[in-house]
Amino acid sequence: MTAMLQPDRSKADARALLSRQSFVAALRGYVLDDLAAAMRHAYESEIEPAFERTHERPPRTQDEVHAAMQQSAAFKLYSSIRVNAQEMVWRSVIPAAQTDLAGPEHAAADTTAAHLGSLTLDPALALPANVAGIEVHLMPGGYAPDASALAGAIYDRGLAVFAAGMMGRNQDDIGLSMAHYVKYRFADFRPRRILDCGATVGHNSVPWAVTFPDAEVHAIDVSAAVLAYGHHRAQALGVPVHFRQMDATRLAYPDASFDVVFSSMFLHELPVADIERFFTEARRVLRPGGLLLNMELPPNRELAPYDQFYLDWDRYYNEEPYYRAYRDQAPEELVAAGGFTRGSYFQFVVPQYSYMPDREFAAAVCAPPAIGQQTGRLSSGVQWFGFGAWNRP
Amino acid sequence: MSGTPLDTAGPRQRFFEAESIDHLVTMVLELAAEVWAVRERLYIIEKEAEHLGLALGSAVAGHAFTAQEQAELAEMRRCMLANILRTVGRKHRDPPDFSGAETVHTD
Repeated sequence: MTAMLQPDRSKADARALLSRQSFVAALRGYVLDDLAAAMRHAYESEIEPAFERTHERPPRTQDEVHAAMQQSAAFKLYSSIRVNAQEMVWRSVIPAAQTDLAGPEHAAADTTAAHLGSLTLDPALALPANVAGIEVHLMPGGYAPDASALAGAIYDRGLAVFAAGMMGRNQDDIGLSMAHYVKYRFADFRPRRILDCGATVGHNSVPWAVTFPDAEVHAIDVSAAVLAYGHHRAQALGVPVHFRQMDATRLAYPDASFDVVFSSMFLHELPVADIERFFTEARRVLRPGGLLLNMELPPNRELAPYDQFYLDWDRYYNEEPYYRAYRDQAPEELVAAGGFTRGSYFQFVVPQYSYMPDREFAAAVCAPPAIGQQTGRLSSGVQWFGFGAWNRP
Repeated sequence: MSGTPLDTAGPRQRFFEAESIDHLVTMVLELAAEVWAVRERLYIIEKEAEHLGLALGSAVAGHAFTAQEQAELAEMRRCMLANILRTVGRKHRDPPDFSGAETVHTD
């Protein structure tokens, strides 16, 4: 990890802040593994049987599961501790990020490192309603408060604590896993221009440039703050990425100008109508034979009611207003609404690239696992869900 | 540069019947984080004292964990969390019901 991504240890009480971050990361890991398992056990051993005694059937929907769970101590404690952990993520990184980015060394970095990639901001771009005024992920002030890099630094450092060591060395495992999936699953496909939409700080854009070093990687987001930070982040990692402030539903790129349009954990931040607009735009800018690829949470229809409830917890308690509406959709229908042919749709599950030998991952993508309890659920052993479509007539 | 608030703007989610319990959960977790920071600092001091003598201040500030130390700390964190959250999953008895007390003990 680069020095830029770390708190400056020379600052007062930086050690205590680092200790707090490691504690919060451990707390997150405990919640997502141990407390989640305890809550599931409580459901299976007590709450579901009690529901069946009352209704003479098991719960049919996640709402029925949720209503039953809300009365249980297991749910209350899990949820309360998880919300507190989420708040503590941000509280553990904001003070150091504010101090570090106010220092002269950061101003110097603004002017000297301009040789890798690029940064293009659009001050006239209005924040869409799904971003403006929403403190997504309970992030104080939101991730797009202004054009300074501060919110980007907070987002990146917060993500490192949030990930609890489960999302790769630079929180880049999703990008690495998706890019390597393409590399090994479609070995004859050689993308030359790749577009990452809703890229925030580019933590999943950089892996595409690493995996396909001959390709030109572009990353867009509506937030100037995350792009400004992401540009320096990519430079600090020595990877060229072209960051540009842009709305994915109104791409400013010409027709047929990319081989891959990618997104990760982005669609669930959008209203459904905007997802369809994004896919329409994605198809427009893809070259014939190009690939739309999205890493996302698995659709609700493929999960049992409890697992639907568990994944949609964020909708109700983590400031994710569009989360469930997206997960209630059928991905192939959204893709078709964007103009992709139905026969070109595919979906898949992959293990985490960062935590297994390259050769094993290559073998795994040729015999991918089915959607299960670990799919999309951040915890030890998580597997990522993805879907996409080829741009064919 | 404008200051970033530490808290979100809206009301917090309440999970327990009594709001005070939500506050207590926060207090306990914040206390745990503070205790952890102290424990980790002590751990570093002890390690540095072993290796570097009395020049502890700068040594602590610049200490970089070895892989083994990171593993030890990870286990310590896990044990600490297990202690603090030890009641999760256990049952609680209802309070004694005196509304229809049938026996009064006078001794």
